Amino acid sequence: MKRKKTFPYVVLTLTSIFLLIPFIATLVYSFTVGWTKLLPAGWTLKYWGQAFTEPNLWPAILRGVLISIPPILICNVVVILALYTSVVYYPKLEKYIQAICMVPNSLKGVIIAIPVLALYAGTPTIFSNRMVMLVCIYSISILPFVYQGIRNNLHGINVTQLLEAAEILGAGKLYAFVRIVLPSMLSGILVSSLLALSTVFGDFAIIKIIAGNKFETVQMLLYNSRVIVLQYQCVIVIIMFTATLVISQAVFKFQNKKRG
Amino acid sequence: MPGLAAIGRHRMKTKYKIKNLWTMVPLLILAALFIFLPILSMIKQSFMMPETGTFTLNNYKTIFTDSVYRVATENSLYLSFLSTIIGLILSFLIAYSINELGQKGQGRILSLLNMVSNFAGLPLYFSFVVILGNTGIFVLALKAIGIELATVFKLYSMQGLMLMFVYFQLPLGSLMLVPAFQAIQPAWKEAAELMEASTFKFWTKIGIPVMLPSLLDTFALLFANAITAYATVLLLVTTSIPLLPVKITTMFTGEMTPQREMGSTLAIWMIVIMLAVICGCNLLKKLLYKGGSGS
Repeated sequence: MKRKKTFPYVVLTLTSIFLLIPFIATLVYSFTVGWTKLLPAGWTLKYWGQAFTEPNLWPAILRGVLISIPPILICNVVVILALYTSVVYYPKLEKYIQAICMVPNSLKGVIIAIPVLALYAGTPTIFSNRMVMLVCIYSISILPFVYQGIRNNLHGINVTQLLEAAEILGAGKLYAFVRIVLPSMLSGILVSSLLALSTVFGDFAIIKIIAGNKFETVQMLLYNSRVIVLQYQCVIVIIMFTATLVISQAVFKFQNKKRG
Repeated sequence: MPGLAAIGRHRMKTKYKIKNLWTMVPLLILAALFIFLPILSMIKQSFMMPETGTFTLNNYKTIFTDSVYRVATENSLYLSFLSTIIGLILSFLIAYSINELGQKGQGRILSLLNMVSNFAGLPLYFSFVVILGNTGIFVLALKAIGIELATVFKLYSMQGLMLMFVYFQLPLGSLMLVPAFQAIQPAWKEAAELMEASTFKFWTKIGIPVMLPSLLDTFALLFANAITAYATVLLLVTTSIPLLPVKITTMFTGEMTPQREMGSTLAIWMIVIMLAVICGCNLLKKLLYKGGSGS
């Protein structure tokens, strides 16, 4: 009996150590003057100061947030329109919508960005604009999250019955949708939008391929800082990680609230 | 007159149907313009001769014969398959262990896994440079006490890539497998125990077969994740170990003139590999499911 219980603890302790080492090392290293012996040579806050006074850091973070807003809006609108109709009127079409929305789960990053770049770059269409391209590709790559969130929500609130009830009470279709269905979907939309935000924030492949240095997000800032001292990069890594952590904590909170 | 009312309702429904179909259009347009058209055009380009633009199969032949492309394919396949298999086995053990814990312990380890699953790409690369790079703290600390880590492990090599890939596979794999373990009823274990089946026998005969669909799904997801990984590998081994995503990208965005045709061929080739693995997993799942219900 005792042997049975020790095994999980050993596995999980080793896993936790393995998973935490890179993270803790990065955090500690960002405070060191240098670390060439068994222990660090000394401690400093210099690199943290340097990062926070770096004129490019905050604009880069802001750019990351800004570029994620249009795709989140586009994707939510497009998915809500398609899914709402299919759930209410055409349940049979739902599996096709799912199939389309799940494509970016496997075709992601490089293989979503490269074909789009190859097709539209240099053409006279509006899609040759790198910002438009970026927004459209992000709209595609967040499809699975947005789809999942909205689907769960639509099924969770039992939309058909809600509509019937609204109709019996004399509400029109549009009124029922805007005043009843949409508000009850808000928390779901928020959760999937936050997940989408963290995807866009964590993306490097697409931004590097499509925008290069023309649109410096934190990921690009980190990439371009690869020649500066390592401590400085550590600070940026920690800042980025903290930002993602805040987002995922928010998601967690909203999801639990919904359940409770 | 219930019949007339029904006809009326039916008419109203068809009217709704036509009126409402437009709501599907934006999604279709978005997907067509940014998934299907680009990939179709890429397929077309992959069959075109550079410069002349006539139809050819030579590009595909080049992928299998030219060592530059063959090595990239082999590296990508080796790295993705091995890291997926290692990741899956370890994730299985981790998810099993999580399932054995109490609720409090489960919550703690799950939030750790959730947190670490965000840690990928460039940040992950820099963290590994901090601990295991040429001047990494482990490397130098070990040197200070007289151990040369470089003789057994180098970050800037296939080993380093493998370690980082397994690192980002673990949280994803375990998070996907935890629900599968929860689906295994304690009553089955008790029943197996009553029939004097050993723990090992329970897992090989009941547990793993029941979980096989989840294991196959996880395998496909981890593989797709590994073969498309770009940020993690870009700075680590761009020139010494060619890999498909980096190779493809440089053929379109590099400083040299873009090689559209060969680049397209290589990109389609990578998509084919990935789809083959995903479809293979799905097919296997179907076959096993049928076999299981038939016997």
